[in-house]
Amino acid sequence: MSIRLSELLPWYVNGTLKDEEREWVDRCLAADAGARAELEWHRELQSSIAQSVSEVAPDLGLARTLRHIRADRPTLGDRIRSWLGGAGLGPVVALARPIAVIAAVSLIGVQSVSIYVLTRHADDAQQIRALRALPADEGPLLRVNFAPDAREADIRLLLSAVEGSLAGGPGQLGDYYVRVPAGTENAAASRLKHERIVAAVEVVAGLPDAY
Amino acid sequence: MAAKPQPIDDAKAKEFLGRIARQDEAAFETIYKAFSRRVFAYALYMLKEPDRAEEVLVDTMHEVWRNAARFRGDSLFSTWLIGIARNKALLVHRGRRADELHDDLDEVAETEVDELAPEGFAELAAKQRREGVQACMQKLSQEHRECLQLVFYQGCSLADVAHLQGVPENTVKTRLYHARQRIKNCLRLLIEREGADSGASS
Repeated sequence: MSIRLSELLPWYVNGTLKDEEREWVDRCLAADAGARAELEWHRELQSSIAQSVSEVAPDLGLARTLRHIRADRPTLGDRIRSWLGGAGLGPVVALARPIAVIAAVSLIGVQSVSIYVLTRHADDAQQIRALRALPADEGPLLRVNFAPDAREADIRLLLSAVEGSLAGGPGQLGDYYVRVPAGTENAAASRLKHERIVAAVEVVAGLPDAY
Repeated sequence: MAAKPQPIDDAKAKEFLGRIARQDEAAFETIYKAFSRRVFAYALYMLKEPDRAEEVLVDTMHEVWRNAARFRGDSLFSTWLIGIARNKALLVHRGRRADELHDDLDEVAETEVDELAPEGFAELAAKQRREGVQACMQKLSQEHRECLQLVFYQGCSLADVAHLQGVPENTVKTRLYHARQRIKNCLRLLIEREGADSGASS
């Protein structure tokens, strides 16, 4: 048997030979009993290798892979932050953190002064009222939980449909606080609760204390 | 054991890959079930350990999910997939302790036969053939074992094997030649051993 035939037989058996090479091998096989025996050996080898492969369930490791995939996905918060960045609101997001720090420090300062005033001038209610910090976001607001697979584009569309804007969130439980035009809170909530990407919606008095 | 998934041809696989690039989990599951056995079989041949082979399968498929959009379609989907599995398996292989390595060859497979005689299967019963091939494959070097797997199980072309192993096509031909020689020789020794055992017992 020629070296060329010996080289080509594995590819003849696995079906990846080009047409002209396949035809050449066919001619050799037709003319040579030794070549046919060699072909048979290769087929037996192929079949034995296939049979020696362990039978495994097609979904072996699938659940673990899906867990990895889902863990890779950006959270809704990431997506919204990325959307805000992409919508040219990046500077607003960047500014939000220092503003929050300044607000927190101011609040502590105001409360300290209030305590001082209370202890020193317990009867001077007018002074206390003057020093009371106004909440940043007076209610009512909508508290919304979106479905885990909600896309930021869909959320954006939905908020724009109710003329809503984000007032806060997401919290640890995934709550978002949405401001809608005054007087439309209930109508907006009814509309949102029928949307597929909305898991829950509720009208609330305002942002919780944590905000 | 779950039902055997329907085989998927290359065109269909590429179509599913397009859907995976758009984060379609259902398409991913279809591809996973259709190709998991091939990836697992390849990894098992390379690493010889089911746990590590499963690890490679999971990592490979995860990579498919992450990089589906990067597949340019120049090769068969299965070749691209095995290429990913190969890189993962090599990482695992390199991470093994030194004393776990280099058990690939022993004197049984090392001895060369004089010529490519087509004996070696006819004398063995079907079960012995399967076990014989399995035993003899385990005695090959990793390159030789991989070469036989890629050709006879994965159905890769010469160009694909050369690409996957990162060597010229002539090197693949040489590897394949030696791998077949050693398998033949190993099978012949098995038959002789069988004969000696049955002669001794009679």
